[in-house]
Amino acid sequence: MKRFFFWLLGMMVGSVVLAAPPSAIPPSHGAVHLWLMQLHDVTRQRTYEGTYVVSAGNTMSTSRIWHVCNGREQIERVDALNGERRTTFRRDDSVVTFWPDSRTALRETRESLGLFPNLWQRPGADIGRFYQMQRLGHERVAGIESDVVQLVPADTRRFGYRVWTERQSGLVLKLQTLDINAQVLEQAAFSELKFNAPIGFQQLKGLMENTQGYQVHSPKVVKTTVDQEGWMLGAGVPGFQPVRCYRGVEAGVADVDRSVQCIFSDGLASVSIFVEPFDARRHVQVDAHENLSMGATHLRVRRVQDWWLTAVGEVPGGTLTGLLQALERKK
Amino acid sequence: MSDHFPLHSERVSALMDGELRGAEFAQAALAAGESPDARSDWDTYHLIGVALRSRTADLRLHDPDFVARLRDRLAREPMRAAPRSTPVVQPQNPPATAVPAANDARWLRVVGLASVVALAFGLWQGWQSLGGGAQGGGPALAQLTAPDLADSSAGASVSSKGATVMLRDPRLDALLAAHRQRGSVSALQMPAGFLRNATFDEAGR
Amino acid sequence: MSSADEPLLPPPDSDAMLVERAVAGDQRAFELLVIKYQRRVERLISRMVRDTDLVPDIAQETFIRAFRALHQFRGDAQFYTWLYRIAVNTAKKFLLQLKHDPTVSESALTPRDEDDETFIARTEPSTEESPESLLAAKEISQVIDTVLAELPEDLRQALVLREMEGLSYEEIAVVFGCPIGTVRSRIFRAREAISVRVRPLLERQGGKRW
Repeated sequence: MKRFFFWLLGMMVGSVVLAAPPSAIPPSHGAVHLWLMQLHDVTRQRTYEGTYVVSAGNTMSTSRIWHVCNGREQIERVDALNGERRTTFRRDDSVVTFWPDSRTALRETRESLGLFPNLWQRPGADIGRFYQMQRLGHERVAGIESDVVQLVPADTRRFGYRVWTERQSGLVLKLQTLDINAQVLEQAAFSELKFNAPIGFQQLKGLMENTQGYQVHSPKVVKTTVDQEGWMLGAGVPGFQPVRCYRGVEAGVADVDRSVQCIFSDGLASVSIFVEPFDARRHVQVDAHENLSMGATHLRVRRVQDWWLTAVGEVPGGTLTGLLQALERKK
Repeated sequence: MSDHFPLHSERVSALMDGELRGAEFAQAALAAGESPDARSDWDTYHLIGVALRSRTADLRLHDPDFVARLRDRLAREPMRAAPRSTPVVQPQNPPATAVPAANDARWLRVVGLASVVALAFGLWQGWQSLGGGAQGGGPALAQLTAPDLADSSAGASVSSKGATVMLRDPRLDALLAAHRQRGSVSALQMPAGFLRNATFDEAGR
Repeated sequence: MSSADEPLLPPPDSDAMLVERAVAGDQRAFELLVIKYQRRVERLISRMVRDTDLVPDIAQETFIRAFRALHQFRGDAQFYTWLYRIAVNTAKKFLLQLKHDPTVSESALTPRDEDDETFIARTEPSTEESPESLLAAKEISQVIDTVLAELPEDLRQALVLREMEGLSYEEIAVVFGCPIGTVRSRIFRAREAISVRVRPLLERQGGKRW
């Protein structure tokens, strides 16, 4: 009946022309990008100190934070208040972590921190397509007025987010990761925040650089590609693009040198897939491993020939499985 | 601020016709599932369609008791495990004790054990079945309340909740640490993401 | 060939997308499907089973089995066809367990893609339906027809093209030469106008058995 109807219409009109474009791109598309850009800029501008709490599933971690800007540069110090004593310094891409109790320190360059502005200029990267932004209103976090925005995922392959940003500066005060039912998987938030800090830029810089009396490790990491490592990426999961690969990741346990870390992202969520040679003694497919998660972070494993793949990321388990299935060994 | 968006009848109408996509669909489906008004519209609009297509159809709204009973039954259904990845060759003699870092009392390797002594942080949780706790679906993890973790240095023993399995595996922790350090390329990375990871960042060094 | 014999394909819908959500963990999405298909499933089962008291239980069982098997549903087929099969199998299992003879022969139960209502038109009227319920259905049907006829032409046409011709919004937009948003609005307004008049009758009827 439908076909007849259209044949008739076609006869009358000559060719079927759409009167209106099919489902238009939602107007918030560009808004997501704009909003994220504003978010990113803000850390260059404000100095603050506060207490930060991260809750994920069953666990809660707290830290004390100082963040100081001096015009062009910024430096940050994070003291873990749980577990073993640990202090992390960050100055742009440079990160130094101290463990006072064991007098060890780790010096690294975290390339990903400078990545964001470039991330979504890559072809194929389109956060606005996979997340829709909803403004939810206002709320106070740690006594500070904030705007609330929800990022609703376009499909079930990724999580949603609720973001509270300070009204004047746009600083992210609270961040929730939400599952498909808008239940909170994890939350990271300031429980206390004061703008301006009693400590100066040079002071923090000095502390960061003073590794005297500490045994310093600087792990060697080499950049590589999926292709160079002998893998092909098939259909994968919509939105998730390979971002970079590292080889020789310092894992702290045996067999470091031969493992490779490949990172995928849709702009908001990221997944690391670790590739190691298969080791029957260690790589056991235990039931529990199938459904591992910690807060929003999930984990899945897969064996491919003589290789063992582990996918870790803040996405639903099915997405990890999808990405794992997409990796094939080149012939 | 409520967790749910008010869903107007107009969206129910578009939803049922399969004309919503992406985030608009997700949001509408979520709200329709929760809102009694939206469910009523969903029901009535469908009935109208049925009536238009047939002269002799059964024209009655759904029975709320039926759905309520079904909901109870479904709540007792075991949560489905993720589809299995490629099956792995089981080792001849699965190690009952820990791998390399075994001397450290904090590390335990779990193979087929139902519950483990777990420390305060870095707990991987896996679930086998959920006993009625997962109303409305979604991982039960989000609904578990944080246990009393006053002092992490006390090797706290946490018994398994229901059938949850907690693992502490040095290798997994190391991978997790590597993911947090190098794998975070999210646009929300700064500052929230970095702070989150820096706060989380536990052992595995 | 009368128009009653021509199968009316149900229009495109969100069933497959709701199944996807349900598989991902949103149980309420599954409940939307239950609301949509409860009566149709019960009707189907009642044609197989003499004892009407069993119908709700078998229907419950059908949906539970469907829920368990959701991950097996291939989005390329109609959800209702898939559900239909589960309903038939569940009813048969029940009957075997109770050692009842099916009231309808196997051949009459061949699943089709068409909307169930037209199939019913071909079989004999069910003896389980009470005169009251038949009358009530007729009344509701009449109210719907009346309101439909009273609607402004553009609203009526939009709804008819959608529900009876199974056209998508995009296709209807072509027919009218209007934006898709207008189509969406017209269909909604038509539904709402009918709903307002028919819902009080439906709610009054609620709770009545066969």
